[in-house]
Amino acid sequence: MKDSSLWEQIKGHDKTVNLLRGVIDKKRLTHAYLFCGPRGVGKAKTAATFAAAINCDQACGTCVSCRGIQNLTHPDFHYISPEGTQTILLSQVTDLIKKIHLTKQNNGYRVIIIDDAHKMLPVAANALLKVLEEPPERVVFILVASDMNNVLSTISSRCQRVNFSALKVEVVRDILINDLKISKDKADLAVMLSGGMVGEAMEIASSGLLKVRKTMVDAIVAEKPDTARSVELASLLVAAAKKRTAKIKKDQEIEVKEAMSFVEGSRGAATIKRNLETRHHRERARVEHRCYQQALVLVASIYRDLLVLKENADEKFIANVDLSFELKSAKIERAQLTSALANIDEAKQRIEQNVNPLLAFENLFFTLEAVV
Amino acid sequence: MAYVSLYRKWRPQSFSQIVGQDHVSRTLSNAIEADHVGHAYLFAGPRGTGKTSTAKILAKSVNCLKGSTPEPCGTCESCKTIMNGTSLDVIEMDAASNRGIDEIRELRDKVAFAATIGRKKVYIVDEVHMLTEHAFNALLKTLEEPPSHVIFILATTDAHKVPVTISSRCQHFVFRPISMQDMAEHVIKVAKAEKVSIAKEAALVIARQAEGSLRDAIGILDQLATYTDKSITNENVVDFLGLVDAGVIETSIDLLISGQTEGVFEYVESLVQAGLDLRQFVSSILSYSRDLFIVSQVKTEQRLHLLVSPDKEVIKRLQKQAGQLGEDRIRSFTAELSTLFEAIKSSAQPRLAVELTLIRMMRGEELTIEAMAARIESLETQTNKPGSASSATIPAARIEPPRSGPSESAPTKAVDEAPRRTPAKDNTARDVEVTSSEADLSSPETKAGLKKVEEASSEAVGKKEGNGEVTLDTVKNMWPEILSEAKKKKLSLNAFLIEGDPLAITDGSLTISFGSRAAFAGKELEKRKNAEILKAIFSEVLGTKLDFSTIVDKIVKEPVVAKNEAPKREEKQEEGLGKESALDMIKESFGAEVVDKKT
Amino acid sequence: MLITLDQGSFLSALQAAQRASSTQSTLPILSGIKIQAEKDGDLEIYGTDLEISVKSKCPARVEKPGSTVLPGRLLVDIVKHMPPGAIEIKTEEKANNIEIKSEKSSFKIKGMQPEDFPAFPDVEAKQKITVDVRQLTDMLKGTAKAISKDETRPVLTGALLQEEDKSLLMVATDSYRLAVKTVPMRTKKTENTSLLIPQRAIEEIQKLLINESGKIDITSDENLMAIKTANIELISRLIEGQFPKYKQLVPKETTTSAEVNKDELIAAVKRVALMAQKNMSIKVSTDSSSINIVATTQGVGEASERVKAKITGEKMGEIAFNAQFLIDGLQAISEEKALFEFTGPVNPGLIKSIKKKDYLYLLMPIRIS
Repeated sequence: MKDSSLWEQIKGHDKTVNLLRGVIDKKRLTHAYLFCGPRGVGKAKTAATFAAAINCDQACGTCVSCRGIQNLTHPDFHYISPEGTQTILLSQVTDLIKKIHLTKQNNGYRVIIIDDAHKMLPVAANALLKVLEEPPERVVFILVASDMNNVLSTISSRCQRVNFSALKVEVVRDILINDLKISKDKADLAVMLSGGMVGEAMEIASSGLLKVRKTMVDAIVAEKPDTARSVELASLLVAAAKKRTAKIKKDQEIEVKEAMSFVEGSRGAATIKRNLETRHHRERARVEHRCYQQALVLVASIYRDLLVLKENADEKFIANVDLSFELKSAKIERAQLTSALANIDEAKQRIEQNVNPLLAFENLFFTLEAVV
Repeated sequence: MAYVSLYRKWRPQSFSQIVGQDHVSRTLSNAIEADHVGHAYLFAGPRGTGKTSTAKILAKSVNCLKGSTPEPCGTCESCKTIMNGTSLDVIEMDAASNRGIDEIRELRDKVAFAATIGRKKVYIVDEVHMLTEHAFNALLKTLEEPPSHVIFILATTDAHKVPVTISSRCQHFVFRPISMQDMAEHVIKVAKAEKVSIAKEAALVIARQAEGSLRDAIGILDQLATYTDKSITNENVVDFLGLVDAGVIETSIDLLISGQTEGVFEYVESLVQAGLDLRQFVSSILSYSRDLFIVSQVKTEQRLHLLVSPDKEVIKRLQKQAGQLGEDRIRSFTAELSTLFEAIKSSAQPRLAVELTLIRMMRGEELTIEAMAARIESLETQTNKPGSASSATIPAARIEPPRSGPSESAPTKAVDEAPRRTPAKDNTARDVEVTSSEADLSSPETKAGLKKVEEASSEAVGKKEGNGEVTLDTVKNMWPEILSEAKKKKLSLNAFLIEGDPLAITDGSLTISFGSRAAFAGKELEKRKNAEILKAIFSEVLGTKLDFSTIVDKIVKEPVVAKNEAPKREEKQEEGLGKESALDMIKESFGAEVVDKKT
Repeated sequence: MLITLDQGSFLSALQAAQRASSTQSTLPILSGIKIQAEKDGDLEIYGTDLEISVKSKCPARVEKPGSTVLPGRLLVDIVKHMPPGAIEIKTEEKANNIEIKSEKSSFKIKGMQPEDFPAFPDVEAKQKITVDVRQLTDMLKGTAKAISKDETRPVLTGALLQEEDKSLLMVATDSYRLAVKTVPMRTKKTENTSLLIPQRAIEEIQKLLINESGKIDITSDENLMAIKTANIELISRLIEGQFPKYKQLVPKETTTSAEVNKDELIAAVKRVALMAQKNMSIKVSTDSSSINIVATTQGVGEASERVKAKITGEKMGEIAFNAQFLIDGLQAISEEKALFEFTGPVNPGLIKSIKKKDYLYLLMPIRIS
């Protein structure tokens, strides 16, 4: 029986999984959980599995209830997430609250997953407080958050916290190699580059950014600044991101076309189209942003390698092993490393604040080169 | 029957059951007995300190069908419906979903209706700070002429965001974070009633983790009761809460003492391999360094047990490390770690940030006291920057006329009005005092700092007016245009300019300030070619000639101090010492105040 | 699928299902209508927004069974503009392209997968209420206005349908007024059903019943209620939670009672209310033979009117009410005369029907400061 459960598909969180299964077995289900831990370690997947298990003890994955939760058509299951990058809006929360106060359609539990709960606007989070504290009977909230600093303490205080640790490196490698079918070399490199951030490792491995590292290292270790090279490097990174979004855009256009051919002419058609397009736009923006963040992780990985060299530590800690020859030629002071990291973080913030990424990167490389 | 969480099950139902808010329950009980219940209350305090529970008890007390009493019967129809939320006379609304002016106007019309079965209509407005400005104004009208059958209870976790016009019309009660002692006792009491065995130590760890919130404490107890089959040990708690094992942290301090920088990579690698969250790690090492600090200051063993750990061995080891490091280094560690804690929240490479900081600390290159002071000063000057984000965050309250002391400054009528017949046990004087955060605002240090800011800005204003031509405000307003114009003319010019902030205009010349990291951008701008283009842009956009010069802020822009979050574990110990968070330490060491806590 | 059916009956069945479908949702399929033809059966038409679901039936000649989901609004528009007579609906093999043909015109539209459409909910008929359609309509009409629109208290945003000994009642309140409409039932029930029906379902049921007559069944389980006419079945979720115990709000005795011509009083209130302040407050008092109504707006003026009434009990001083709420209550009375009762200025006023004693409306006074 056990091996046919959705639980079996969750890797690297044995303790957490046991804990959650225990809650179901002992029938001590409470009304609000907060799953927190680093990005990309499988929190949302675990939340969906927990949601399935609440209405199907085994989380079999094949019954009507389990399938309904997986494809979001379960009548008593609600899934809320930021549509794209930005935020969870007040209207999303108030709509949810209205639904919660109606009876369930089936006899089980009503389960609500709020994914990326740290992206709830403060007003949305505040609107949730009351129902989160005392929802009607047999309602279970599962909030998922990777940035606890942006979860109101009034929210977390109403939930039972379920902590997810970062995945162990072997687990990440296992996932990259066996689940995502990424070559062993590439997987190793991605794990090293990510500096232990698994979500990043997975995305880096499948992004087209690995090739750009050589140019980055050249720029960083160069003796004197070269504006042309900085500009070129920046546009390389932006182009890589645009390439990824262009691919997504094609699929999205098909989706819009199909949806429109269905609703065309009906009164709500314009609204549906607008909603769909807004969602798509945000999705693309999110992927683009992720791409930029990864590029910055790569830039930072180079500085980390420089630090390792600087401190005469074991070379096994060097991430960009393939470029260690170039790295060794760098002359850099520790203070410069500190300010380089600060510059990278600043660029990260800029991009998050929607500064033109090309400008942000150009600016970053101008500054970095000037520092060396 | 569905399982009801312990914190709901153990919600207090009468004033005597409220934990750790004696000053509030006593004053309110007395007011009810004396039939002196006010029309508007403001309950302010952190989460889980009993604001909403108290509001509901007050509602029950004034509406109990057996007569107005501080001990409502809990069995009459009124009490029962208030408890289960179906009362027609007690309206619990959350300000977040009813924050607009329309909702509040509607409320204004509806308060005129009489109560149904109770005597009073009680409006409990949760998280009232979420109201919009207009909504507050509309509410003000109602609070100004409250109908006699209506009681407003405004509850908030963020009293600073409630306009003074509102709070001054309310009796203001400050709910304190529950002390660790009270909290641990309550945890043990609940555990006993629920037939859960819990070690006293474990209760203390829970209390510490709960950061003054009873709801958090009971929530943790609830979880632990489930996962440990009702027998909770200290190890269970540490393991369950995912607290970083003290041993790991201790090792890190030993490593720091050893000064072997190359060992840092191995150490951090082992953390990452073990699946440890680096943010959690930094937060743990930060509170560990706080323990080190306390150990270096406090000599009485008994106090140390209460403040740091009941374990003698732990204290011994801490004392040893504290001795090796010395007080100054502990202080600067704490400061450095606070900065790191803030920085890695949004770092592209948290691991590198941790490694760099640890290495810097080992080399004794951590920030010196002078450097810290300089940073803080810079933060103050930053607020002076017109239009900069930080200047916008100075709460209006700070411009109020100076007050003579914290107790007077509390915008509360409770002091004069509410009868306080029962003599307080030991802390009478603090009955109605303001919270520490409020005290911060009116503390002399802050005021001095503010005064400086105000003076500085009025100076700037004077100069700008003296010039008579382009004002700084104009430049600020037109800055986006200037930037976009620069972008059209020369891409790199825009990239440099974006780093700067217009600071002041003196004698027809604009001063643009650059952060130290962007110092070179400033230099680039001053190069003749760039300067010419920029001046051309100025006259184009502003319609007048404007010269410019650049200056460099010698310090990084990031605020120095952690957001008050991590190190605040016990904001309120019974004695002053317990208040030693990293933030307080820095304040004390440098006589400075955090002007802007925003990142 | 290949079927033939009549334009008129298809249209009305479609419109019934269309009302349940959603135009707001981001899920395009919820704006669709599912049609399903079984061998030797009628055509079944489904619409839902996951809160309310409607299934309607339409006689059809089914040559080839099948099902598909079509854009709701568009389908209604197409059928509406077709001439009366026979319509043929044909799907291609994959059910994605549908052709709708009348004598002269032909439309081809794209459908969606019927498997993706939410399943029509199942209501176990654990409880059953049988009621006369006209009586049910009266209940809905008499209470609908008192339903609260304030989302702060969800339990008040619907009406309570409750069996009680030998009667069936419907209750609604927004905490400023309360309306109770009662109808007698023949049989005494052992188990008393109690359903808290959301406002939206109340509206839909009203529309559903417009052309119906005779008896109708309302079935329910813990979660859902269903109401079924010959051709249409409507299923709605209920409101979660406990409706206030309204009986304790109703005063057992009153001190003043005025028997008054309902229409005269409504007309008078409407006139006087022209001078009422923004909150529509009017003052009511009695003397030995009449009800007096006064409204004042400071700085604008005053209006007053006397309405003849048969007064029993004490003389009533001034009590203030919301004029609109008062009118709403009076209008729900089906008889010529109504009883208007008071107990002092801070206790609720009552409006009752006299003969049938089947209607009670309670009004909270406005406190005069």
